[in-house]
Order: sequence, then structure tokens, then C-alpha cells
Amino acid sequence: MSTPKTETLEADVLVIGGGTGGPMAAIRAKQANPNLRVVLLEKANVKRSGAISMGMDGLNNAVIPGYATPEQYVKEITIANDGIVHQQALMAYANGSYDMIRYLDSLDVKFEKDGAGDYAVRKVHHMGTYVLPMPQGHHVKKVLYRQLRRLRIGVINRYMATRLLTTPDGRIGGAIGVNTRTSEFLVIRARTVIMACGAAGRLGLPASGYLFGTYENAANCGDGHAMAYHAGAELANLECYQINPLIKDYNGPSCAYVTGPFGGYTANNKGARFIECDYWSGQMMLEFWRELQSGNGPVFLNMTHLAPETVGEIETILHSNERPSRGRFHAGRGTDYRHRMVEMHISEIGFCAGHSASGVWVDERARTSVPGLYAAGDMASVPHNYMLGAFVNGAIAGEEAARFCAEVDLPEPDPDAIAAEQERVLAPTRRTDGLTPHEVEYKTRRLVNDYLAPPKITAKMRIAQERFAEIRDDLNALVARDPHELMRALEVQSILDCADMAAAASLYRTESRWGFYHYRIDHPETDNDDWFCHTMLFKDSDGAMRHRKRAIDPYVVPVDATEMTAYQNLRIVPAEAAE
Amino acid sequence: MPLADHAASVPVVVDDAKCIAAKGCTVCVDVCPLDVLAIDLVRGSAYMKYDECWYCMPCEVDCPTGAVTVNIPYLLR
Amino acid sequence: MPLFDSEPDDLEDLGLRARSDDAGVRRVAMLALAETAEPEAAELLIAGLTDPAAEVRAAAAQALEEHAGPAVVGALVAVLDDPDAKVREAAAAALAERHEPDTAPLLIARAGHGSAFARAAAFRALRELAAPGAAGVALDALADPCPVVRREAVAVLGWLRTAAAQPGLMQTAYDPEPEVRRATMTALVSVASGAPGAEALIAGLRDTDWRVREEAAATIARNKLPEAETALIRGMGDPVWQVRLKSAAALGRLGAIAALPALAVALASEVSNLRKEAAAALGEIADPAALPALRAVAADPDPDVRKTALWAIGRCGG
Repeated sequence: MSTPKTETLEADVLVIGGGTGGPMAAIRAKQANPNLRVVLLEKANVKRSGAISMGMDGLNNAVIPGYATPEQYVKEITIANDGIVHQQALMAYANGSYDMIRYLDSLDVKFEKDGAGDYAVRKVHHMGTYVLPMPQGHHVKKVLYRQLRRLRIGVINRYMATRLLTTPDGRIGGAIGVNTRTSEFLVIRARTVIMACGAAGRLGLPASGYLFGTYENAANCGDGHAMAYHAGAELANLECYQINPLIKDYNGPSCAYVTGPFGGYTANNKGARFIECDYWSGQMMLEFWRELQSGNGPVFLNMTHLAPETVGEIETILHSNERPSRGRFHAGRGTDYRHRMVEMHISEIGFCAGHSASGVWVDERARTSVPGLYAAGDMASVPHNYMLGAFVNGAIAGEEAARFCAEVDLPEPDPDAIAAEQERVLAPTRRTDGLTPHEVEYKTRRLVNDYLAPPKITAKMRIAQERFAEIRDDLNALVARDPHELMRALEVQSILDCADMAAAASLYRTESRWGFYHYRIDHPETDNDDWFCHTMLFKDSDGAMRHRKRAIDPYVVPVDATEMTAYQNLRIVPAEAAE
Repeated sequence: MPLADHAASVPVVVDDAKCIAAKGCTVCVDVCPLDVLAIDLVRGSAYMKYDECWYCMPCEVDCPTGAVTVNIPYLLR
Repeated sequence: MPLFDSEPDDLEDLGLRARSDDAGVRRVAMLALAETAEPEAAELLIAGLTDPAAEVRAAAAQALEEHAGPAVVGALVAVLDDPDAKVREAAAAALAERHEPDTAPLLIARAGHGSAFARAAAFRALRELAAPGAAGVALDALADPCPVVRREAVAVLGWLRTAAAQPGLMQTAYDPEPEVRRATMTALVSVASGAPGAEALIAGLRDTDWRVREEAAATIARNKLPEAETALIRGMGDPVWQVRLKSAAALGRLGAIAALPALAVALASEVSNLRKEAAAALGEIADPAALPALRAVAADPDPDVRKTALWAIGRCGG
């Protein structure tokens, strides 16, 4: 390929990522100040991008007056995360939750309502009531897209951001992108940047061996984490992986949230329950893993005891929202929920604050450690924030960015940085032979499974680091034969960055915490004296990966010691032992 | 190292008789989050160009003529 | 740069394609017209609803979901009687997708006329508008020959929460179709204690369909109807645990001391959701007589049941 042309664009607010939090950030920034030039950059197409490309079957964390209070919610998420939370950010989310539900409702997102038009909230969470089903939730993306059009927000599809631009004084200056179909370059000068690039979901390799058979939308491969890292932003608690109980091979959620309120539950090969709370937490995953190891595996989702009408209702929800190909997968294996339990398994590892806790550090105003740079959704560090959290925190980021725009001028881009990035990006197109993105990705992710997946062992993680360093040299042999392959070649570089970060972060925290997520064989105990803190990972001025501890900010909602252990008691005690 | 071309079965099947790409439709190509579909200009229909499917189904659901079927990739089936 | 701002140029081209001789080209143009918020696009789509080709009309109806205003709703309402099912269904889906309060009169006008499909679609779209003007047509439709229309009309009345609907809903509480009866049980949400509708809810606890019984118990709990106490205690012996669970919750809300033995039985259920609900109900009732039964589940294998039982023991003064 010849050197593609470069275009330059100016924006007041640049949003990178058009999935869930990104569109909401753009909408709120534009609503805060309609004169702002708001640009939304998306690697795919905003119509169907991100974690909820096919919609969502419900809210798991709705804080609705009369069902739960913000204080209860903050306490529960604090407990579920072994205390390592920035409660101020949880509280900002909880306080914004109900207003966001009503705003989405006003945009015609369909939440389940009872016969009188009130929200039909259900219970799944361990201690409170936070589940609001969305039986017709396949419309969410359509609703967002409609709103972007109405507000005439500039949308640029099929451009992948590759690096953020920063000013000499460390402030954000914009971003560089490349077209995934033409390899054309785009330089966007921006006063503020909001990142909403989703999870690092292509980190571990799924058990099926299919590179794109991931739990997360496979487009969400950690570009955001890598870009934030290279721009000097801090990332928090990356050793707190995302690992989820999923349908074996299909790799979609088993959806205890959907089936739980109807009476479905997780069972072992005897058909017996072994965990009483299906809320996804590290402790729950540890019990799940132990059951698999114990000889009582595999683990199943059991609905065979439910009334046929109930199963029909569950099927309607599960087979029309979020991952609708699930019905087809079950049909292919002759699995009918009425008669056969669904085999489940442990997912590959990833970074995803939506379900666990790690990501680019943000405070309660969605600010990263780089001035003018914000982050929201699965890539930002607000724990367990799910779809509604992406919306609420995206909205916060949009409003904050709009405000910050008024205080700063448009930074001048550094031509040397742009030229260097162009060189890095295009290097794989200048080779005619070498290594393909697919094989480099496969190898990286296979090593992630071999050496980084828990239980975490120090010696194995050190081997991983050696092997990753070798692959980093191999990047100089990457070859891309067309713009599409170039996108994959760039993605594999993000994946490798995330793999390095996962290893380094896991080695740094020399204790075990968050159940299975950070279960270190060499340091099996939780050590609150040394490690009751956030761990921050960042790129030093010399380009090296560094760590520091960050103290937990004083809680705004106190949690007493007995409450703190609520999630550590999930395994069913046999009846005789309980007496 | 020199490169080889692999063959792979692809999960997305397009019914040429129903596909209206020749009339200017690009819906399935537009909505694919992984950008793995393309239009074959000679045949005038869409096809799966890259075996990188998340079996998420916007291509099938959004197709105005029901021409697209998403199968579960063989490795998962 | 292909931003949304560059739309007007596209619109001219789309207008040409919308008038092409080739129905396939017109169909694709209709779909593309969903992409722009310009009023001209809506005009082209409204014209597309009268296209000779059904697939073009269906595409136009589908695309109009993305446009707003009385003109759009009026045009969609008009094609609810389209000879082609795809067109009718696309129009009904588009109407149900959004709620614009100022379009209620258009839907109300349709609710008493046309095919059963059109009437049901009109009521479905009216439900979320909760427009008081819809009460009259909805009450009339409770006697509609089509059960789907009756169910949608019941839902409209439920969302309106109007006392005037009660006599009508007392009729549909005994409708031959379980789906209509079930919708009625949730719609009886504004029934106060002593009101005639309470009787319909109590009768619902004995319905042949368990999902009707479940909804009846849920609404009774919500409305706190003490006259349902005996029927609810009987409901604790229901063969379906979901009905027992909702009955337990209702008895808790009523503070029904007479329910202690039935709730104590439920504490020994195999279903942990039900054990927890029974413990919670005993906590609400807060009678020391429940202490022995609650202490027995203080060591329940389910941590959620344990937690609730401990809370309930505290409430009972134990």
C-alpha cells in the first residue's frame, strides 16, 4: 500500500467509542452546550457497535427509589469488591441511576413495567433489589442512534483510534485514527477526549479456540486500555480480572440474572446447588472453579424444574436480546431448557469494569489522571457498572468534558508525534512477508491462558513476561495485506500491551483478593495491612511500566466488619454440618 | 516468513436469490461490528470475507429481505 | 469526512432513488431514509406507504419508526389495514416503539374501527401514553370479540389507574381467556380495600391458571387488601411455589398473624426463594410466636435465608 492521505479535524469534545457510554457522553456534552463541536469516533458502526450491539435483557444494578437506596448499593458493591473501591464514584453512579433510567425511558428504551405502568423491579443481587428486566431490550442501540441523529452529533464510523495526543505539559490534545477500510489517517485536535472503548475482551483465548468466540464483543480488544496507558494515564487494579460463568463453548452469559428471579440456578453434575447466590463475584467464581476441579463438575444452569410457561418466557428474553444466537447454539446440540441442564464453564480472562473492577482510573467525575481525558463504561475503573453504569458515567464524562472545554484552548498537535505514530501504524503494510496478525494474536492469547489465568503462580507469570517480550520483538515482522488486516495488526498490539499489564499488575499485588480473580497460590491470604489499597499501573517518563499504591479514599458509606464477609460465605453448607 | 492462504468455513451464509445488494443495499456490511462482510460486485450480493465472526446477528436481523443466516462457527458447535 | 452534517446532499439522491422505476431501488431508498432526521425524509417515507409494491410500503413503515410527529403517526395508523401483513406489522411495531402524547387522538380514533389487528395495535401504542381520553374506547373494547384487543384494552385501563374502569375490569376478571384475566389482575392496581374490585382479585386467587393466581396475589400485596387474608392463607397451599411466594409476601404486608402456621410450613420448603420470602413475611408480621420456626432456619444452608431469618428474629424481639 502507498502512504494514505491524512485529514485533520478539530473538536471540542472527542468521544472514542460509539457503544454504550460513548453515545451517551456525546449526547450529554452536546446537551450541556449545543455550540460545542462533539465528534464521536467508532471503529465499527455506531448502529450496532459495542457490548450491547444486539441490545440488553435487563438492568442488574438499577437503584430505584422504593427498592434500593444509593447507600445500600454503595455498601453492596464495596462488599462484593472486598473493600477496594472508590466509593465516591459508586455513589455518583448510584445517585444518577434513577434519573438515567427515566431519561432512557423518555427516549423509548423499553423497561419491564407492571399492569399500572410502574417499573417491574426484581431481585437477584445478594442483598438488595436491583434487577429491572428489559424483555424488549433489543432496541437500545436504535434509540441511541436516533438521539445522536436528532442532536446532529458528528459521527465518524470505521475509524480506529490508535494513539492519544498529549501536550508537552501532559494535557490531552486529541487522537490519531486510521480508517479500517482505506487506512486513511485522521488527526483530531481536541480540547477534551472521552474514551469509551469497552473491555479488553480479546485477552484470554476462549476454550473453543475460536479467536472471536469471546464473551465480550470481539471488537473490544483493549484498544482503550493501551491508548490510555501510552498517554500516561493510570490504570487501576488490573489484577482484578474479569472471569465469568458462561455457557460452555458458546461463551455467552448463562444469565443467572434472567433465570434467577424465575427460579433457575447453578448446579453441579448431581443436579445440586453448590452456590446460593448467582451474583457474579470473584468469590462466586472461586466456588465455581473449585466445583469444576472437585469431580462434581461440569457445572450446569438448571431450569428443568420450572413450569413450561416460565421456560417459554425465559427463552423469549434470552433468545431475542443481547446474544440471540444462543437459541441456535442450543438447538444445534438438542438442548431444551425444559429437559436438559445447560453446561457452563469458566470464561477466558479479560479486563472489564462492567463485570469486575479494573480499568483506567477515574474519579467520581469520570476524570482520568490525564487532564482533559475522561473514561467511562467497561474500560473505566468504576466496579460492576454494567450497561446502566456505562450510561450514567458516560453522561458524567460528557458533562465534565463540556465544562472543561470552556477552560482550555485547542492544543497544537506535535507533528513529530504524528509522524512517528503514522510510521508505527503503517509498518505492517510495508512488508510483503512475515507474521500474520492472526497467528501473533493466537500465540499471545494462548500464552495468556497458559500462564496468566488463575490460579496465579509467580513462576508462570514470569515466564509469561519473557514470552511476551519475545512476541514484542516479533511485532517487527507483522504483515498486513489490506486495511482490514492492518486493523487486526493494530489490535494485536493492544492485546499484547494488555497481556503485559495483566502480568505486571498480578505480580505486583502480593496477596490474594477478589476470590478467583486474583487468587495467588504463592500468596493465598488476603493481606489488609499491606494491600488494602488500589494498585495503579502507569508508563513512566522513561517508557517503563511502573506501579504504585493508592490509598482508598475515606468511605462515604461505612461498612462494618461483619457485613464485609457477606460474599465470602457462598458455598452451601451440607445440612448436617449446618446444625 | 512467506505466507500461506488458509481455507476456512465461514458461519455467515447469504442467499443470493434474496440479497438486494445489486439494488444498492449494504445493510449487513454496515452493521457488522467486526467488519467481516463485503459485497461481491460481480455477483451483486454480500458474502463473508473474513472468518472473524462473533455470531452476534445484526447482519441477519437487520437484513431487509431475510437473505442472511448466521450459523454458529464450527469450532463452537 | 462522512459526518451526519453532510446529510442534505444524500437526501437529494435518496429522493431520486425513492422515485425509481425499480421497486428494489425504492425499497433500499426507504431503508436509507430512516438514517436522516430531516423532515423531507419523513415526507418521502409517507409517500412510500402508498407505493404499489408491498415490500416498499413495509420498508417505509419500518423506516418511519425513526421519524416523529402527528403526520407520521397519522400515516402509520392509516396503513394498519394494509392488505399486506408485513406492512401492517411494520406499522404496528413503529407505532408501539415510541410515545408521543400529542398523537393520542389519532390512535383513539382507530381504536374503535378497522380490523382486530388495527384495534389491538392502536391500544398497544396508546398504553404508554396513558391518555385519559383513551378510557372510553378502552372500556368499550373490553367486550371486543378478539381476545388480543381485550387484553390490550385492559392494559390501557391499568396504566390509566382510573376508578371508572373497575366495573369493566370486574367483567374481564372472568374472561374466558387466561391472558385477559392475567392482564386484569395487574390492571386492578387502584383497587382499595372495600372496593368491589377486591372481590375480583380474591376470586383470582382461585383461578384455574396459576399465572393469574400469582398476579392476583401480587396485586393484593401491593394494594394491601385485608379482606384477602383467608384466601391468601389458602394460597399458601397452592401447588405452584410462585403462587405461594407471592401469597407469603402479601401476608407479610398485611401483618396477618393468622398466617403464622402457614408461613412456618413454607420455611421448610425446598425452594430457597420461598423460604426467604416466608422468613421476610414473618419479620414483617413481627410476632414473637414465630421465633421457634425462625430460629430453625437461622442456620439455613442458603446465606440469603439466614440473613433474612436473623433480621426477622430481631423484629420479633428474639
